[in-house]
Amino acid sequence: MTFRFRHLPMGLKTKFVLTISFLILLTSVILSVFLIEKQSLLIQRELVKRGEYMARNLAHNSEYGVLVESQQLLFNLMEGLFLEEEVVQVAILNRKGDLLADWGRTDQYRRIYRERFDSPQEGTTGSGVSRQYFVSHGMEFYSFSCPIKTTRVERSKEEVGILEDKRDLTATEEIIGTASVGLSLQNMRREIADMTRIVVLLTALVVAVGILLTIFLVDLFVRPVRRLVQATERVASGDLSQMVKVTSEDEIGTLASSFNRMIVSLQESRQKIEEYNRTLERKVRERTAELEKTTRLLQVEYNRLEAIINSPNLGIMIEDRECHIRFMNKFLIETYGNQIGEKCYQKFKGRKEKCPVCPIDEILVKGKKTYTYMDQDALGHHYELSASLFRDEKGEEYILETMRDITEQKKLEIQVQEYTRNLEKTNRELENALKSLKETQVQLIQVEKMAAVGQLAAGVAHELNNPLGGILGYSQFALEKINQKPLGQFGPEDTADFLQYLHDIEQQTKRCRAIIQNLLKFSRSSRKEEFESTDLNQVVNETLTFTRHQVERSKVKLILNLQENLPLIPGHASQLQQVFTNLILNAVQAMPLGGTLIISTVVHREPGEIHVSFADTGGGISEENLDKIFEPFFSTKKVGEGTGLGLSVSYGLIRNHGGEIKVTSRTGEGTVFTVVLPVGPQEIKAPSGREAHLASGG
Amino acid sequence: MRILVVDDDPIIRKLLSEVLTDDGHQVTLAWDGIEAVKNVENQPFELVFMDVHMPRMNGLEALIAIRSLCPDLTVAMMDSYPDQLAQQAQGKGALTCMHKPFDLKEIRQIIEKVRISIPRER
Repeated sequence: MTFRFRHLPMGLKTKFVLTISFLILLTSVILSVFLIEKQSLLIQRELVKRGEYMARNLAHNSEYGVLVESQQLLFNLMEGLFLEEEVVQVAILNRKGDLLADWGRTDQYRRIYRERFDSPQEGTTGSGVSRQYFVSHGMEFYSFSCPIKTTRVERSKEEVGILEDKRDLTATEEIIGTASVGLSLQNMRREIADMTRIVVLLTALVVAVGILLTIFLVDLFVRPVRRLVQATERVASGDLSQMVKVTSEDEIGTLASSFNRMIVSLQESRQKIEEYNRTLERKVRERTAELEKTTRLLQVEYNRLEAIINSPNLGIMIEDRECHIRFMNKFLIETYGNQIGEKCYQKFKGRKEKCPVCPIDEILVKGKKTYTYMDQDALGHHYELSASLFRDEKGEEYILETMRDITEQKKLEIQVQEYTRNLEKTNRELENALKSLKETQVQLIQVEKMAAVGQLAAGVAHELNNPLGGILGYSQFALEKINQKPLGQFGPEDTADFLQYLHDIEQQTKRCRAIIQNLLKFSRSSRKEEFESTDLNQVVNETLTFTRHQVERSKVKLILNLQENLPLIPGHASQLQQVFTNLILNAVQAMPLGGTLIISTVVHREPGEIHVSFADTGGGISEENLDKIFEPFFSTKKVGEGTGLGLSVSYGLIRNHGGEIKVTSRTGEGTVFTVVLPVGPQEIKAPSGREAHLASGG
Repeated sequence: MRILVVDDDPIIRKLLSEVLTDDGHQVTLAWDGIEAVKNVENQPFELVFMDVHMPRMNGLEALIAIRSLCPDLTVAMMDSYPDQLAQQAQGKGALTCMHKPFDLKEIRQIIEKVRISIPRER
């Protein structure tokens, strides 16, 4: 039953009702069965008692009748019993068991008894009454048989009728017959049936009332529980607004108020939880945002790492202590195939044994932090390897090796060495070449200078031959005068003439000397000469000593605009003279049909420069040539007329002075060359040492 | 004899002036070609000594001008450097070209040459 309860979906009420009903029923049934049994037994016992009593009474009363064997007497005795409704049969038997007298309420009873009775046995019950059950044809009855006893053993004694000794009498008791009374069981059965019916009815009534009461009570008890259950279900489904009415002060009431308290605390808890949830949500959002940020950063980091790991020409490998390859990056796999799990020295070096120098030993055994070395694999690739310690999440130690393919680099290195050797050789050659070039440059400057000197030869000759003409003429004139008359006849006028001649000769000789000195100064090689304070106006004038003739001869009008009191500049008079000569000769050559050459010196105080310009009215220089004029060997002149080095050398010389040559030209209008020279820091206004310089220069 | 000396160099002018005056000639001095042509235009000369290289108007140009003014006037050129200009001068009718520095003899030979030729023409 309990098993079925457990597994059938039953309400508490049903369970209670069924259980209690079952108990009531069981109790009632047991009680009624017990009662019926007990009552039946009681009724039966009463019947038996009555039967025994009747039988004993009959036996006792029928002593005489039996003794005398008087049927009539016995019948009279029996007659009183007939009144008893339940008595259905009466019989008296003699010692032998013969019927002395019998009676039946109906013949049926009489016949049943007669056919089936037994001889009463001696001492069957305590009371001496035995019982026999008869049933036949729907009639049943107990036959109680009581032995008829007598102390009158001997007829004689009976006849005497005097009992002298009681003890004697008792002692000589003797069974002389049996009295039998049959009591119908019909009444008893009916009584029992009635009683049973009543009991059953009562029981049924009690059960019914009990069950109804149970239902009512259980309902009474269960209702608040059900309300609690409903409330609980609603609470369980999340509705915390439910309160249960407290209707009693019993356990259910306590439960209800506990439930209400629980709801209140649940509501509080829920509020707290919601609060927590909100906080948690916020935190989760924050954490999520952080995580997303971290994830992005990680992604970036991952991408970066991936890019590093997948970078071309960079091998990355992880090995364990036993030289097993545990990881190879893309580059290595592409180069060697997937060799994970293999031994590195076998797969990379083609060796059977571990390498004599092994980074794993260097790091894991010798305890170096990093180990960098160069190596060559079996395929001939050169690598630069860097090994370092790597621990996995379990703390296992591995070696992380990065391998940079330096095969190309090696090749390049060899090439570079080759190149370097070649370069060194070339460099030496170049140095030699440079040396000889410098030499050549100096020679070139000299050559150019000499070329200028050559061009100036006419001017020099003109300059020299005039004074020489004077000297020769006056010498001869003086000689003629001396030869015309004897020495003693010379008067004071003659002496004055001679003095004049000698003075003129001296003057002209000095003039020649100055020209020669200037020429020497100009043509002297400019090697290793220090800068001196130089007056540019003086340099211009000295240059014109030789060139003026050239200018004038070419019908070029020379205009000098020399600014007075020029500051001195640090410079080399000879080099500057060479430059100016070059520019003047160029200008003259640019004007084959004559023109004007304006030479001017101007001080530009602000940047501290002196501009020496040579403006001609020649044909000008075409724009395409303007860029080339300072290039060496560029010349528009006929072969043999110029070296093509003049401007180039001039430019170099002016650069030497920290200055530059600017040129502006208009075709058909003329060209202006401007030599810009910086005024040195030791700007000297009064050129006091000029004479000394000139003297020492000679 | 009336002689015109043309030279841009004062010492040559001075020398020729003193020597020729001392020899008894009338000497006029000019310092370049333009001065020379002006002089030849204004007064008669029998002989001109003229430098080739001079500013403004050189000897060659002056020679051509003088020859066109006085075709009979003898002009002796002087140069300080034997270049094209001096050579051209001879082609243009100059008597001779003296190279500086010259001997006084050369001067006197030229004067003598001219002195002989004058009476013949007259």
